[in-house]
Amino acid sequence: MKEKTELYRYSYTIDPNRVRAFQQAVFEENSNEQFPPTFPTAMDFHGGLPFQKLTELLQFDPACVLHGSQSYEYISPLLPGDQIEAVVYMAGRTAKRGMTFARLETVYTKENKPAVISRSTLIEQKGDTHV
Amino acid sequence: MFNPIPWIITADDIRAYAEASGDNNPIHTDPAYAKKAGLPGCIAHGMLVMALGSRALKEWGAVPLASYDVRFQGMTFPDEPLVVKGSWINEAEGKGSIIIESETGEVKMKGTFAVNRNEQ
Repeated sequence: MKEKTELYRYSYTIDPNRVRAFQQAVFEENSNEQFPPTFPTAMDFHGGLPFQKLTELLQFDPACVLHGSQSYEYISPLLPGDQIEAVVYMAGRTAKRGMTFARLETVYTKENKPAVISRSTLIEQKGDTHV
Repeated sequence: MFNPIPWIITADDIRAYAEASGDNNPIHTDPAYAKKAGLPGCIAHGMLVMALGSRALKEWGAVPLASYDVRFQGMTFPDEPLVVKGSWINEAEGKGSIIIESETGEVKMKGTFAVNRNEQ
């Protein structure tokens, strides 16, 4: 599958309490001015789909899911209190040597302009490695 | 090269990250489930390791980020001594590389970052 298709979308208001809790969990000082760079993926779980629902949607066995890669492109700053629209796309799905690779792309839009783009590869591997 | 940062992720850190991030895959927090999935025990979220990397970038002054791109290459276990290393590939252009490995040199995460020079 090569064409990008929409998987799901959600709206999310960035909750300052969740940002503070996240900063604490990733060993960062609490700051309202600096947004944790990897927080968008937490927004997907809090505002989008929980892990189990995501694996159902991908038709992945939740016990065999690897996180292969992750990238973020930061276009404009996100801050606590911002209202975000997120659209999650399936950017590709391939199978190789008993593994299935799902490439997801999420575009986080603030005030109708893309603010952050996240790209990840999730792998279903019936084997010995998990991340 | 930036100053390497030693770090240890504990089981409590992993539980706190699961709660704060909403990533509740039980292989990270439930030892019985992790063993059923073929693992020796619970492992850290790749995203917690990546966040450890972005924390290091901040400490090194490599901000604000324009991009951050990593591959997860190995499992990270609770209490495993880690080292976060980074360096500029092209400082003038704000491009650098980052790697997180165990004390014994097993690579956990490897990637690149770019700093937005226009905002500095």
